[in-house]
Parts: sequence; C-alpha cells; structure tokens
Amino acid sequence: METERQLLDSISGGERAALRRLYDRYSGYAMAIGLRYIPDGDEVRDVLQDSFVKILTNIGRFDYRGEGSLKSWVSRIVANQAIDYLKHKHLQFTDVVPDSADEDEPDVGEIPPDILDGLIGQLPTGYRVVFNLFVFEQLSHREIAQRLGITEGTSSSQFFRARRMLQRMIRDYISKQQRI
Amino acid sequence: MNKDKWTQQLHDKLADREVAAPDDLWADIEAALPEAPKEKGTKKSLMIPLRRWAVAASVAALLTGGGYLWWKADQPKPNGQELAATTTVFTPQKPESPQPEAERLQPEAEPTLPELETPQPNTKALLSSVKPISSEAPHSSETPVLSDKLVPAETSQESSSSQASESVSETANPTDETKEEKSADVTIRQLETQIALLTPKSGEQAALSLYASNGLSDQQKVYGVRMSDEMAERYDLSQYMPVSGARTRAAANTIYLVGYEERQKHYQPLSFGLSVGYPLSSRLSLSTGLVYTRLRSDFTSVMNDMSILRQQTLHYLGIPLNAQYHLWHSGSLNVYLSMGAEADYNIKARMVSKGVEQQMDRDHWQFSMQGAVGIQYDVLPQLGLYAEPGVKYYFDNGSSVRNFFKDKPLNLNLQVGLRLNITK
Repeated sequence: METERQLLDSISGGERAALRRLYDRYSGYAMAIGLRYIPDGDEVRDVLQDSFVKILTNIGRFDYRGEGSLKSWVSRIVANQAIDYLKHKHLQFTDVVPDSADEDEPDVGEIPPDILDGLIGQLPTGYRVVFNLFVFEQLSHREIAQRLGITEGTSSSQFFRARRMLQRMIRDYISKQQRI
Repeated sequence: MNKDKWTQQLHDKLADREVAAPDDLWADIEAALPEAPKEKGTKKSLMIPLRRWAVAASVAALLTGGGYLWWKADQPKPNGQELAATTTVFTPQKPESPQPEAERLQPEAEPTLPELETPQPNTKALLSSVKPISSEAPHSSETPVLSDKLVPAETSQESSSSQASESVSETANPTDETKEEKSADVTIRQLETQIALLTPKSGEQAALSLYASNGLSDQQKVYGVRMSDEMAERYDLSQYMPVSGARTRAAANTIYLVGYEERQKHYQPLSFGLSVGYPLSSRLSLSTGLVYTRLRSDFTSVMNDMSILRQQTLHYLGIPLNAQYHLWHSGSLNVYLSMGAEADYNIKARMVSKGVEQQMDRDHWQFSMQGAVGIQYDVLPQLGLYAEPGVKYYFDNGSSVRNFFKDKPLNLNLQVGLRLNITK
C-alpha cells in the first residue's frame, strides 16, 4: 500500500490522480468523524466537501511528521470544519441530565460500531462536541475550552454528563436487545 | 490526558471506523478545486517573487540607463556642455561589437578633439592630474567588487559589473593597441571622462532611482497567555497568597497558563520603489516617488503540544519625501545625507491560518521619518549605484494590527539602488 509519504510526493509532483487517491483513502474515515459531530447526512456532506477542498488546496502547506500525520491532519480539519459549522448554528452548552449516582459502565465490546456512533450522534450538540474532542481528537479540557471559547470547567462537566448519558443510552440499547 | 478505561475502549473501537462517503461527493470536490499544476506553480512563484522583482527592476533600470546612453550617443556633440554624454558614448557601444570597436572609435573620437584643443592650456594643466588617473585602471576594475556590495540582486550584479568591466577594457584597449598614435587622443578622452564626472555634480541634474530596501533584522517575541479572570475566580487563590485579609482577585494578579504561549515573529520589511530627484541647489536636492513595502509576520499560539500558526502579510504603498544634502565627492564616489518622511497606505492585509484565509482589518495610514547616510558610486557618469544605511522611525498609527512597525518603531535599514542622473 502506498505510504503517506509516497502519496504526498506524488501530489507535490503534480500528479492530479494522487489527489483522488488521497480522497479515496480518507473519505470514509472523514465521513465517520463528520457524522459523529453532525448526525444529519445532508449537513455532513457539505462539511465534508468543504473539508476536502481545504485539505486538497492546502496540501502543499502540510507539514509531514511521519506516517499517520496526514491522517490526523485530515481528522483535525474535518473536526474543525464540523465545529465551525455547529458554531455557526449557535452551538449551545446545556445541562440536560441531572446528576445521578454512577451506575455500572456498560460493555461496549459487543455493540456494533455503527450503533455506538449513532448513539453518540444522539447526544445533545454541546455534549457531543466536547465528548468527541476529548475522546477522539484527544484534546485536554484546557484545549477544548480554548477551542470552543468556554471554561475548562464547562468542558469537563459537559464531558462527564455526555459520558453518563451515553452510558445510559448504551444500557437501554443492551436491555432492548436482550428483550428481543 | 487521563482518559478512563471505558472511554479508551470506546475510542479504540470507533477511532478508525469508516463510513462510505456519498458517491457524488468527489465530483463536487473536484469541481471546487483549482487546477492542480496552477495551484502548485502560484504558491512557489508567490513566495520568491519580491526579490526577483527587485532584480528585474534593477535590470530594467540598467537597460533604461543603457538606452538613455544609447540615445545620447546618437545625438550630435556640439559643445563642451554635452561633454558628459559624449565621452561615455564609448561605453554602451562597446558591448555590441567589441572587435571592430577600435577602428570605429577613431572617427568618433576625432570630432571631439578640435573642441578640446581650444582650451589647450587647461588641458595641459589638468594633464598631470590625469596621468595618475589613467594608471588608475584598477580604479575602474574595482567597480565589480563595489557593485557586489551595493546591488541587491545577483542578476543586476552580473550585468552591472560586466558592463563596468567592459567599459574598463574599452578604455584600456585603445591605449595598448595604438599607443603612439593615440596617446594624446586617449589622454584627452580620459580628461573628458574626468570632466564629465565633475561637471554634473554642480547640481544641474535630476535623478531617477530604482531601489530595494530591507530592514536589518527580524523581530521575535514570546508572550505568556493569561488565565481568564473568570477561570482564575474558580480557583481559590487567596489561600496561596501571603497577604492575609485581602481577598485576592484574579484581575489584580496576572496568572500565566503553563504550557501556553504566543510567539510572534516579524520578518524584516522588504520594500522597493522608484523615486525621482530634483536639485534645488548644487548641494541640496529633493526626491519623491512610490515605494512598495511588504511585511510578513507569523503568530503561533501554543497550547501544550498543539500549536496554531497564523501568517499575516501586509502590503503597503507609500510616498516618500526626502531631502538630500551632498557632503563630499571624489571621482565617482559621492557621499550625502538624506532625511525625510514617508506615508504608507495599507493596500492589502491577509491573515492565513492552516491555509484558510481569515478576516482581517487593514492597517491605518503609517507615517514614518527617516535619516540616512548615502554613498553613491557612479559606474557611468549617468548611472550610479548607491547604498543608504539609515535609521527609520515609524509613528504609532493607533491601529490594532500587530506588525514590525509597532514592535520595533525605530530600526536600522539598508536601501540599495540604481540612480539614473539626467543632465538638464
């Protein structure tokens, strides 16, 4: 398989087809990321299109730092684009789940990934964004606070509430499955 | 990041998941892409061209200078006042056909003889001072060395030095070849050159210059990032403070975030321009023109291991007004003082982050004052290379745009250029 370095070399060598190869290679990955922020298929399409136009037109400025760095760059751009889109639609951070005692953590091992992503997509927008940034973009609460213009405390509480809500949804899903 | 086990498990399960993107998405993306080769080309040619422009401008100036001399060469040589132009006629003609030049020289030089014969006594008196000059062939062969230092760009260096060295061989050759017959002729020609170099300095000259200018250093700074007041309020800082009783407010104590900083780097300003000089008296002249300046800055926000780079480019168009006072000259060398002011208008401001252009306000008018010492070396009587090391002060224009001028209002700069002296 073509390495990221080889792909980038082909692109910088002016090979137009290499742009398509980059898209083919990462569009599925980008789509999954996009849907995790914006569950609506039509909306995420626009975000993805803008992200790839941005990626492909700015590929010359990408700073290669080893295999995998291109993939994480793609992920960052898609996440940023999705957040900007949500911000534009007035991203709000609310508390919709009352604090309750911790319950058992449901096992995610047996649950199909598309169901898990679907459940993440059902989280309220503010929770979802913070949760994704923390879990998948691996940002700290400090960085999330900076990125979203909220306090570190808000980021932290949004995350824990999102986590608790997601766990409850997973438990509901599991119990529903067991009833069937 | 202390992610718990459950979260980590979720991450591992979903992080590399893929979902098929819509089928027709690529077509839309491709339609929105600029032509690939064009994109690649423009990026490269946009980065370097400013220096190239300076080179091109210098070459253009050289050509213009050559053209001007060429034109002058075709003019009849009626009297001694035109001497400045006539003597140097040899120089531009040389590069065309070096071989038959020696023959062609003769008839051309002849007509100037009778004119100069009249002031015989003068010539004789000057002859003694001319001798050392003629043996000063190295004087002109030094030209390339000097021009190396003065001309901003390689191409113009080459062309100017080659032109200069050709003019050297020009004057040297006839002396060798036709020594006995032409010695008087040559001496007179050198005399003419000497007179030509001296006469225009009386102030009866307008000047056209092309120049490039650079600051002498980049400017770099690192700032800490303050904790926001509301965030600081969340921490009970008072318990750590030695002063008892006083309720410590975050606003009163700046708290810098660990691992956060903002770096800014201002690259040295780069300008080039065109100016026209007008003599007021034999020592004083005024010059004005049009100057383009480009300022580039990098702002990097660092948040632990993540950094965001924003690149700012500002383009200014300015009008300088300078007065030059000629201090001293010897041979082809001129030393002068220059003082003046400049108004720059920000024609374009651009801020780019991660390849995405962000909105940015243009800078206000920027006023500055400058003083410099200039050294000019005339490669030809009509064409000089000059360097002006100087000091420039930029007044605070009150705008929120951060740039080199705000960070370092007083700075040293070096302007180098070509000056075309137009004899009136």
